[in-house]
Amino acid sequence: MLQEVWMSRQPESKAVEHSCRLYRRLLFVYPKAHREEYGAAMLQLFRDQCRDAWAATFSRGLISFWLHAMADLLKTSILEHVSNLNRNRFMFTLFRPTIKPLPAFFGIGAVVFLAVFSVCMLITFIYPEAYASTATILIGSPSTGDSSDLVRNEPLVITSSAVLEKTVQAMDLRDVWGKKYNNGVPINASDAVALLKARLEVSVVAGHDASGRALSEIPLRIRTFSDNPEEAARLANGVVDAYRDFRMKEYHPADTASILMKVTVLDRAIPAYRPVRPNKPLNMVIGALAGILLGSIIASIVLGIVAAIRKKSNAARIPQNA
Amino acid sequence: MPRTETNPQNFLPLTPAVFHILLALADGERHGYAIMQEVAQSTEGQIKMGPGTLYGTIKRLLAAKLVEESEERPDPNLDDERRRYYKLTGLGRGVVEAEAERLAALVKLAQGKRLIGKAAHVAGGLDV
Repeated sequence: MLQEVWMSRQPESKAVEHSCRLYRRLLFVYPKAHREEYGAAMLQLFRDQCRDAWAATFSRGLISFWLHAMADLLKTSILEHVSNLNRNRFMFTLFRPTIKPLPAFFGIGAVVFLAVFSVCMLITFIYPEAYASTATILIGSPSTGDSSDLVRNEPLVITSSAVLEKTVQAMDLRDVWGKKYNNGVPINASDAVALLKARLEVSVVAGHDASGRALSEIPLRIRTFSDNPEEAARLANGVVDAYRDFRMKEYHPADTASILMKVTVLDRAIPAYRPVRPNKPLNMVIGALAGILLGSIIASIVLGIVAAIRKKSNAARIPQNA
Repeated sequence: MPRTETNPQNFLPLTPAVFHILLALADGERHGYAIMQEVAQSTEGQIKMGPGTLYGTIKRLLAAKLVEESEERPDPNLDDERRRYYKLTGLGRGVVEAEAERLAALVKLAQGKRLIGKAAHVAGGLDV
């Protein structure tokens, strides 16, 4: 259409001809729909005004007209783009009959729920698995018959560097973890101890009997974690062995007849069948609850925004935008 | 579809561009260039309307059903047949009349306060 108007022009000065050619290119600053509907008419009006300006005062009139036309183009092209945005917002009102609050609420809620639940499940299955193994020991002090100090001190002794260094040395963990985490280069002893400590939990199973009296012997649970179930079991048993050796050699390296500390292994650790982390059933429940909660909140917000936009669109009066 | 506004009072006040275009069409149907010439002539060149302003305003007037595109075309020998002619609708006429009455009431008010004489001293063109 634009081309048709351009080709059908009457003879006119080169200045007018060049001006029209330039204006035709500048029309691309308008939104496409507006350009298609009114571009040809605008170009025709521009050419008429251009001729008038040229006929009045030649180049001076044409320059003055161009300044006015550029200001007009800038202002109205922005207006048209803003108007286009408002029209898109106005489109909400066209769907009024199809948007019913309750189905829309459940529709949006279902989409958000699925998104949240999927993300939870994705994280759950991507997250590296961790296995736990537990060994149980019984410690006692036959000479005193009081376990209060044992409850307080022995978990600290088991997790101390003195015991863990022995474990690292006995299991050759510097080399084992060096191969696993440090491209085959043995890690420092202090790093190995820190790594082992981070994977170790010691807890007192019971320090008192039912009547509240301190037990003479107390059970301790030594729990270790690893991404490999066999390694987790080895670590737990290694710590138990190192602790027992430590206690025996520390106090009575030669005289076993007068042992003050008695350490008995009740259960040695065995490899676990199932990982303890991630807890898939728990994560599924959390994902479902979070999905329902977020879905409800987001659906309420979206429907609130849609209602506000409809109200605003209804209040808008088109001629005042002109 | 959105409800169409039918009460002329609800369109007021009009912007200068809208009012002058509706005024130019009050005498009969015109194409864009004729509207622009009519506006320039009636305001003694004070209002200069560019193509963007004219057709942007016409687009909104069409949407509000204040003007409509004329189906009739003049004799091709007398005018360019591609020109698009516009005319007022009944609603458009009601709106321009209501705006004229509103402005007349304002002028009367200003006359009562002896402000009209001073306004005549204000010089310079007005672009819309």
